[in-house]
Amino acid sequence: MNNPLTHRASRSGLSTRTSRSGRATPHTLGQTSTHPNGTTPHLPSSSARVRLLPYLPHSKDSEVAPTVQMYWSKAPVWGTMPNHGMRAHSVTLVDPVAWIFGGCDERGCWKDLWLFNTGNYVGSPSGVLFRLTRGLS
Amino acid sequence: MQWSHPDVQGDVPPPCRAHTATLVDRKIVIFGGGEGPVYYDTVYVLDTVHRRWQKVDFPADAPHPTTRRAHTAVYYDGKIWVFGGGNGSQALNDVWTLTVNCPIEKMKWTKVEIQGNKQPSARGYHTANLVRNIMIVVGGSDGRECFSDIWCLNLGKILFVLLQTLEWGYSRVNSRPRYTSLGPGATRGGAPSTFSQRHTSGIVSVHHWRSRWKFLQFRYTIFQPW
Repeated sequence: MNNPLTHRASRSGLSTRTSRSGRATPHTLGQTSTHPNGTTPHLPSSSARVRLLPYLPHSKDSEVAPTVQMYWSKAPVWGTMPNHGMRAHSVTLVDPVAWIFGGCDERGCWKDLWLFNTGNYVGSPSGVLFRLTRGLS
Repeated sequence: MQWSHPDVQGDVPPPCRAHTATLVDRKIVIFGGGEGPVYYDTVYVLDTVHRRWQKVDFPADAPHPTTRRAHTAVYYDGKIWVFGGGNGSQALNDVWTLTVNCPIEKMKWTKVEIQGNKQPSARGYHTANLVRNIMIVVGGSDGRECFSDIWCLNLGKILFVLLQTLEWGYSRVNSRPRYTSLGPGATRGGAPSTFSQRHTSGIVSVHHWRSRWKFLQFRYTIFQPW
């Protein structure tokens, strides 16, 4: 698969990896990867790809942290996006869809309604939807 | 993760901030809020299936909560339970229920008489989450002072209990949480996650029967949610 989003499949902190010397080492908290963006070194094609650190599509340079910690990262959103800022609005989750009403920004209050589908699908230029691997919801 | 801007029909509410929106059987019930100097006491229902707004009309002589915003609401036992908020001149600590398990034209407000003599001080901008039959009220402000106390309102017994909390390793959790959300995983464990905006840059959870705070550690990437 060439879709980089599927690379998150093996983000388990329990995995072991084969180091450059060929010796399997258990993953420990705080261990840094030998590769700057968290991928394992190139292995023979017969080996499984193992990712020790979460893939953060929008932040390649974030500090290495234990995988049991949680990360904020910007969501890969698409569609008709809100055209104004919002605070003091309300968000109500109906199944996977967040219904967002009202709120205000520096221009005043709003009465419009926005929907944000939290389902794990992202668009592609071809129009085909890709499903993100199991993560949020 | 798709955004969309749907067309909706019916009685669209006026521009509004700091209202509550409560889900009742695929309908979203909006109460209160305001714009600029204006405070609302109105109720609107949005049918998410038919995408239609409807304003709820109440008899003129029926009891009714005052205008308010920055209050909280939870749904329990066929009713929306509203606590606190502010009406522009003062903070509030009254509790009201709106009966919603009925046709819209039969909806009815009832003032809740709290049992016992304990009750949170008047406040808005607090948070409220329902865990089983308990509405947990955290923090808030009366416009002068910010609060860090936690109150459990037992909705079966209509009784407020002040939670005596123990610090759990993280000092900043004691400063005024604002705006909470409750994760589904946290509900099962009986511990609501409190998302605190502005005052503490983190998420804390409080276990309401062990009375302990727990700070959930986060790492930031380029995105900061506030």
